Amino acid sequence: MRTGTFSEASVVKRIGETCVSAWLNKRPAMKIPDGLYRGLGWSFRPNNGSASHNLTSILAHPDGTVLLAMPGAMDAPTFLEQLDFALALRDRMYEGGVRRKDAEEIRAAAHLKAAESVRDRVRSAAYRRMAKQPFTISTFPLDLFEDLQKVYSGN
Amino acid sequence: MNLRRLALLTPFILVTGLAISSAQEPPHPLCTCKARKVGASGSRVDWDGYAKSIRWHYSIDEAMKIARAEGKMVFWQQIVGDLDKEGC
Repeated sequence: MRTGTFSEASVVKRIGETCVSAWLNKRPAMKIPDGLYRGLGWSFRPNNGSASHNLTSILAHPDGTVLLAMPGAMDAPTFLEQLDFALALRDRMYEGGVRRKDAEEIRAAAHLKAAESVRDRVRSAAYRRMAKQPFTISTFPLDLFEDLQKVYSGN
Repeated sequence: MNLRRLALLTPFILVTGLAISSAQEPPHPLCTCKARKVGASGSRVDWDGYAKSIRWHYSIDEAMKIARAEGKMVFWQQIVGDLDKEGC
């Protein structure tokens, strides 16, 4: 995603306007040689849902509530769609910065609705999983979506 | 798949296989990331390899603190490898 999506000017602009960003190496023991992809001349275009076992994008309220988590690579339009989903959900769950009493019901219903409307199987499965259980930044499992790589590859 | 295409792909498959085979899963969920680069003003740096102009923090706690102050969401990207290096 960093070579494609996160180098798109429209994505960079929206992220800067709406988010404070951090990254986490979820497998620091895995050593990937520098220069692995150098010289291959690839024009990198991520396939949505690929690398679901390696990549997870999480958008959260600063109180720690995870608004959206999506596994795998996403192209720029898909990432921006997810960003809009999270922003809209935040605005429904919080009024004037204060969390509504029915925020959890709103969150779960929004994910379930998205799961039923999206065609992409990986995204649909991720939405459905998110609908079942709320997460915070500190409780979000690093391996929550790793099995969805099988959904992506059709195995 | 023709032979020429297979010949081109073979080195990549071998290198990737070596990288993956040497991997070890970290203790879960205690995976942490240590900063490799620290900017002059602290830990907030621009990473100039890819993802140009996105300002990445190494600490999610720091990102959440700033997000609270600025009224923004937190975007937390979990990856494999180091974002300040090539290869992930």
